[in-house]
Amino acid sequence: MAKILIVDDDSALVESMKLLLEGHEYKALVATNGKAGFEKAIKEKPDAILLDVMMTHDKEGFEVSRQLRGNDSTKDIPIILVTGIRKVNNLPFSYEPDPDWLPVNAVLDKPVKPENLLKAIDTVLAPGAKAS
Amino acid sequence: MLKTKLFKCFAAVVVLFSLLTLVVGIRIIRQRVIDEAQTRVRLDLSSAWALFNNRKQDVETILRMVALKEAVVDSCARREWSDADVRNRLERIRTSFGLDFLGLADTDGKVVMRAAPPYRTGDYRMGDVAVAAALKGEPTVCVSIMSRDELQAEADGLAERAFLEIEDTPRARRSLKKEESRGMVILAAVPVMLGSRVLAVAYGGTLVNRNHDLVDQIREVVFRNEEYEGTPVGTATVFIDDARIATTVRMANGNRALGTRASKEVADRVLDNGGAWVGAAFVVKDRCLTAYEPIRDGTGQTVGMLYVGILKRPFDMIERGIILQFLYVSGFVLLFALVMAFFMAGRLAYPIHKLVEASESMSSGSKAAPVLVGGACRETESLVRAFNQMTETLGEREDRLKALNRSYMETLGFVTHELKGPVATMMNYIYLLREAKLGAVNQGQAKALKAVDAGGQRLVEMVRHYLNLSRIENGEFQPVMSRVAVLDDVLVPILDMLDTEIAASGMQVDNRIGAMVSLRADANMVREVFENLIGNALKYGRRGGSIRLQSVPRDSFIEFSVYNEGQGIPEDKLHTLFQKFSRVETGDSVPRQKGTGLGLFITRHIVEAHGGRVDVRSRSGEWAEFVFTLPAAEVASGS
Repeated sequence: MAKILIVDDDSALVESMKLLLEGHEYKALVATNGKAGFEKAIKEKPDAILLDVMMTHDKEGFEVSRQLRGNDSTKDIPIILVTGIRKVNNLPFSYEPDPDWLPVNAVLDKPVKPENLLKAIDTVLAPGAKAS
Repeated sequence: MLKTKLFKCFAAVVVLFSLLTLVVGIRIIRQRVIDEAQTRVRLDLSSAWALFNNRKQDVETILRMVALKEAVVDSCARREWSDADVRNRLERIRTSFGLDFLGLADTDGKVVMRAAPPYRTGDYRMGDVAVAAALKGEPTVCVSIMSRDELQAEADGLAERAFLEIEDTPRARRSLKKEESRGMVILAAVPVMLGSRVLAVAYGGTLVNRNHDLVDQIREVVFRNEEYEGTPVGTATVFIDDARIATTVRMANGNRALGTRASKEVADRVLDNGGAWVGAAFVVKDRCLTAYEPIRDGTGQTVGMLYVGILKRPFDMIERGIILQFLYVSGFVLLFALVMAFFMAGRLAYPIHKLVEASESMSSGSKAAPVLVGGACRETESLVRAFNQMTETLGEREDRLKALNRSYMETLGFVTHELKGPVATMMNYIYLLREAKLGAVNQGQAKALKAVDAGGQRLVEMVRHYLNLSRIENGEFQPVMSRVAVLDDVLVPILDMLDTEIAASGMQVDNRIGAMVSLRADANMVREVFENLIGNALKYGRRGGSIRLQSVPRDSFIEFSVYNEGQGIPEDKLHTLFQKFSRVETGDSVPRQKGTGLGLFITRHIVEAHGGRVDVRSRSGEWAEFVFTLPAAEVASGS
């Protein structure tokens, strides 16, 4: 059973996603801030991470994704960035996956339709899909 | 430009009035010069008459002197007519005083002595008005016309001197007369008295025909022999009827123009009506101002004309001089008025031009600086002041509105952004419920869930659209350009995402956009555009119909079209379609899902932010097609 780590500070949303994933035969792990998420990723080695961009501050999601990529034990874990923003600190922000700027496997626009979220997870977990 | 227009108006008025003044002025000058010339020619004619009458007076005086001669009175008292001594004395008087003929007639009017060869006697002179009057004791002098025979009787050579050939003269009266044999004479008759008894009549006179002394004297005295460029300024003539018998007018060959005739116009007026004639006329070869008056004989009958004329050319020169002077002055004034008009137009137009400029810059969206105008007229200044006040007030109001809108839009963005989490949560639970992940759902509950799901979808769209609106309104919606593969990066994800809706609508998506089509654009924005347009096609298209996606290269752009079968868009709605909160909800095209009215507004904004154009075509009741262009990716070498 694949393990999915959900990193998001919206506890109600996290709860619903956890149920959603568990309803589809995934094991859901939860962290409500970036630091806890990073620690949990190292400890639990999930198969994929759903990461919210804006948690306690504007760029927490980006920082976490870069931290994860920078750590040997987590650098290959696929990351799906779930975001509600298009602008960071007044800089226009194109949130296309990018090895340097945004080292994630997929970007989804909040609110994500459950079907699309599941589809995205299926895609990154599919054999042959590689971390960028 | 206003200044040019104003100047043209002013200039037109100035020039018009100048022309009017010129026309009137020149007319007045001409009239005045002509009046002056005519006054002068009338005066000259009066002078000529004075000389003519002097001549008559002279003749009368001589005759009076003859009648008083003792020898004559004696001879008459004795009725001795053949006294050679008396005749010799008379003849001496005649020749020394320049009379052409001189004689005595008895109380019956019979000529009893003539003091000129051939000294003929015995004929009667009673028919003569002067002689008849003298017989009644009244000395008389008058003009008289004598026939050839009468002239021959008076003196040798007199008839020959009087004889003139009539020249053919253009513009004269028609006449068959080829010659003039009559003579015009100044004739005086004075009674020879003894006490109160008339003993006889002394008569005598001079022939006017060919007598140039008189006309030359007129020229000399009246015109002082003045010449203008070699031509005598003044001319004088005596006519019998309309034929010149004594004149200073010379023909081209230098001879006096004897025997030529006056124009018909003059003859009709003077001879037939006995009036004077004053006017411009050609005299032989020069244009003259002329005056004619009738010469009457002792019975008051018009027998000829006295004429004086002055050259018109000197007056023309005077007239031309005055007109030239007038033109110089007018031209100078016109020029001055034009310069004034130019500056006035500038002064009037400048503030208005400035106001127009300011208004234009205001209507193009930029803030107008206050218009500064010095030296304008009071009304314009107050207009400018009012305008400046208005722009200031408008500017303040606009700033307030902008600030208000900005804070409103920020609030909207914040609220919609904050809605994302709860909506996502809600959507997740609806999904879990619907999919029976949280336990079995009965039919009624499933129906309710479906409705809630549809509401949720709408909420998702609203959040997306309102967030975009707030970004557009706050000017934060700037594309970040990158290479976008339309099929892989845009269409596949969208069609994937929408597959449940597509399946539910029973429509087929016919995508003809190939894998090679790529853009240089903001990927998310392109996604937004396709999502909106395909979403609309799903909402408004005919159930079971098809949606067609196509692309055609257009220069450095790619033109896309999203076509759907269905009710289409009524023609009157086409032009408002891309406006904010525009919705098409008529008849059968009521959407299966209500929109925000922002999708096409956002679409247009995105396409235009990329330098493209968006348009819609439709046949009402059949189909609708949205067409838009986006910049193509540069063809990378080797890819």
